[in-house]
Amino acid sequence: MSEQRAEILRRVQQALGRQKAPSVDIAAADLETRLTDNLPRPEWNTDSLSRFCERLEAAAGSHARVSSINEVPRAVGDYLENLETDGHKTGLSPHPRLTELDWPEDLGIDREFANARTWGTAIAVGYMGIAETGSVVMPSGPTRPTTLNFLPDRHIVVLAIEDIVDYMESVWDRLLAEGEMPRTVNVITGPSRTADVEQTLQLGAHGPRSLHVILVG
Amino acid sequence: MAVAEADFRARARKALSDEDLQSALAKAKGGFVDKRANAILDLPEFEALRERGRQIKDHTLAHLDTYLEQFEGNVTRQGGQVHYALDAESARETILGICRDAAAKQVIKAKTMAGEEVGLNEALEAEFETVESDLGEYIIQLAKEPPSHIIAPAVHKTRAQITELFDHHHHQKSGGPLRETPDLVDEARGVLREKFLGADIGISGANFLVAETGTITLVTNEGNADLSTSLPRVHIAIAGVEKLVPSMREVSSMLRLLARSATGQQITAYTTFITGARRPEDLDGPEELHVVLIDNGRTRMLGDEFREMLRCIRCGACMNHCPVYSAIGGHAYGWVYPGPMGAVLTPMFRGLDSSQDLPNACTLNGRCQSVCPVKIRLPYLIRRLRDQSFEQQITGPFARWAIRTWGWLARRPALYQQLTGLMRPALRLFGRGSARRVPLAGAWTAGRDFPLPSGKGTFQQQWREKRGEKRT
Amino acid sequence: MADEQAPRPQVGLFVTCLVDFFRPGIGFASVELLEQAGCQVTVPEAQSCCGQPAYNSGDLADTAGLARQVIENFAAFDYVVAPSGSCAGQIKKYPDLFETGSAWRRRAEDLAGRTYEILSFLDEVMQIEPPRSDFSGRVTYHDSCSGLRQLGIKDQPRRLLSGSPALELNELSESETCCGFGGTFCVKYPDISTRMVNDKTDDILATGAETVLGGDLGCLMNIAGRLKRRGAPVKVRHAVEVLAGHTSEPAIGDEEEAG
Ligand code: SF4
Repeated sequence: MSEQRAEILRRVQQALGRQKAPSVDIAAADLETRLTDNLPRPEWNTDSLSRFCERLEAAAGSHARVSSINEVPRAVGDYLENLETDGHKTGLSPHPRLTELDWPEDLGIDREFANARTWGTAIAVGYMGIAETGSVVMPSGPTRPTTLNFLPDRHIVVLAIEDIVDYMESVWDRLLAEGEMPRTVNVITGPSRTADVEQTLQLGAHGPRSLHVILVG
Repeated sequence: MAVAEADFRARARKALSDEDLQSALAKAKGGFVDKRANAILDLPEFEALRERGRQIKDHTLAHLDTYLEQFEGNVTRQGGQVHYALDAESARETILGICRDAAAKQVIKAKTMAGEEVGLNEALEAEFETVESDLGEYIIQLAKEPPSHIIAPAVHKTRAQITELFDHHHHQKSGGPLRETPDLVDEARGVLREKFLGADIGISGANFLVAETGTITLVTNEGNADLSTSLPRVHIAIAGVEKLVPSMREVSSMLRLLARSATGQQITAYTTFITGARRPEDLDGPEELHVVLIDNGRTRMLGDEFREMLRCIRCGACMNHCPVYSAIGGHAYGWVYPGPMGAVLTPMFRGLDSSQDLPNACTLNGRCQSVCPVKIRLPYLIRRLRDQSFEQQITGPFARWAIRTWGWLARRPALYQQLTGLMRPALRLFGRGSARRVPLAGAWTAGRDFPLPSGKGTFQQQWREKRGEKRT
Repeated sequence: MADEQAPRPQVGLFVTCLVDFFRPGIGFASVELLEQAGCQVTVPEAQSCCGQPAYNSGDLADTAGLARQVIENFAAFDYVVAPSGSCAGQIKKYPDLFETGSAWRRRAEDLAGRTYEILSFLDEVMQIEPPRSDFSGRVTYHDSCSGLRQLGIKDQPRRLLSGSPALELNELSESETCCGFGGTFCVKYPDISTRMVNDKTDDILATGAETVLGGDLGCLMNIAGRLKRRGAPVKVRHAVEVLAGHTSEPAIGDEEEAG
């Protein structure tokens, strides 16, 4: 195996006409000289929150707004009230901002992550939102298990409005400033979908059939 | 599952008369083109973004050694392992080895073109229960066919055919009524959910590899790649060495290009960044992460004029806008990469002598290049392959003789004009205006009438006469 | 018409092998339009083909041979104009055939800089007013691929045609899709080519046009041949025929008047 590694590197360097790889700094400097335009990105003329909501809706996601985190349980209740939950439970991601809230009995909230595979609805806390695309950012970790983003039929994400940034690049800036990249970062934009049957869009392929964002602030 | 490479013409002919295929292709074609066009209308900066994509990839390829080492260092630091495979066989062996070491029984796969390229499925299926989780891939796995499009692998299947496949494989019946799309998708969801939960190994490709952080980027809409890479104990990602980009900033630009070019989305539903293996404090995620980087001909391209083909981000836009692809579909191309990108990659990876039709079966109309998000000069590369074909005498002797004779003649304008002057009246014997049949023009008249020369002589003959008149 | 003081631009007409052989009328219409625009037109006798068939078959040696010939014979003109986007486009590719820095390369670059497709030449270089014509009827326009993508020809023919008030232009729904001609492609892969031109003619018929116009005889013959085979009565012409008012000549593939 390490022979193949050496051989591939040798071939790469032969193709590039050198024997030693330039340092990362030299490479970075070369990149900067090559990039001619300012970072080309979409622009919009509304505020970040409106853009976020507009893009989220365009991706078939929904949203509601509350003024403080304490109102989240009520907003969850409102959202679930009219939905067919087939008796499946609603579970909480083990995030202190959620677990410390007062959840009314009748929601039948399950706090045991071990039961997650049976949950019909999962509630999680978004790390950041991206206005450009209407996405929620979910880095993995003890308060945000990855599988919760995909297993349940309904995904509810609680997101502080102040955590909405304009572009994806700002997410990396913050994450890397706080430390290393986590095992997984899921950037989620609307519910799961497929167009594999005759190019007809169908929601709920493997992941959640709906994505609901509760905006706080 | 590979289709035999020889005889492109026969496959193309068959495809043209396959009614199911033609109806599936007709449904798909306009959709892809319109969705991309709309996405680009919303982003005036798209041209600047394409230029940036080209710059990023060119830079990365010129520093591939630096970025390979940086990527490997970061993956390792985060508890993953990087493996290198020179060719298809060692890629398969490496992956089988990891599965055996993990005492695996069930493997769940997310779509990977690199995996298709090295023939991974056949190798896995011989030893493990292997299931494709992308709905399109799952459909063609049931049909025992290779993908016919790099982002919509089952684009050639009609709903009736999918109904039939599901009835047969899930319910052991046939001849049932045509089923609706939601019903089919739901059924696959149920069947595959069990597979996700039972798998020991998840295998994915990678859309990008980020050197700065050791991150694998995956884009999907279904969420299948995410279940495949978060539920099983072991995650294996397979990717070509050219998938690298320098940093998270650059991958963000590339993602803007990819989603718009591929599906006309601003971003896919799930864009996922995986860095290393499960951390001690994590509640889920695989304990092992392996990244298998394959060469399989790529370093050769890096060293020659085909380097720019390594910019390809496998978006599928070139085939979606290719009139030849939309006439014959992907299978006619004979290998895993169809359309314009396949017309370059297949000869590169498999040799020109077994695939010389691919660069020839192209009108060089250039639409592929105009939509390619990383500005690959596909028609130029395709034409360069024709040069190689001619040079290496892969082009047949008759064709070579014909073109050389014509070239010889065309370089002698006086003789050329004498001959064409003589041919005109001869041709005009075959009819008036146009002819249904003309000797030696059978290929033309198979589907078209032959417009006969009009006027009293060649332009040059008439011009000489007129000028003569003027002079006198 | 032209200003007696200013020297008239010297234009060498590159007739193209297809026009020379199949449809000389396009050549004459081109000469007329160029002269009306104030050009002095010369048609060098020593010309045959731009070399596309060889170039696109990978025969670089013969292509370079032809290129040298065109470079020599068109050295003396201010402009070289061809009634075809793909032939003008081919001449513009000549520099690639010669080594960087070589004398032939320099000459090829010089020629490439002076070479134009006729419709864009009239519109952009000579900046003529759209010629008035009394052509009337519904037409559609086929943008040939080399002209469209290599040379950026799209608006120029439409601007020129706007001088015919009774001409009603209905655009194709897929105006940027190849017609399936592709030079030798159409005879190497006739099944695929026929399918492509059939799609193109479907699109043409859907516009309700009585005439299809375009700027490349190869594509136009392909389209005309397919329309004829389908028994569709749509006429096919090069745009210069309409602009020069030469529409009494039978359309491409149509029967000539007896006599
Ligand atoms: S060649 Fe360009 S358009 Fe085609 S798949 Fe690759 S990146 Fe996309």
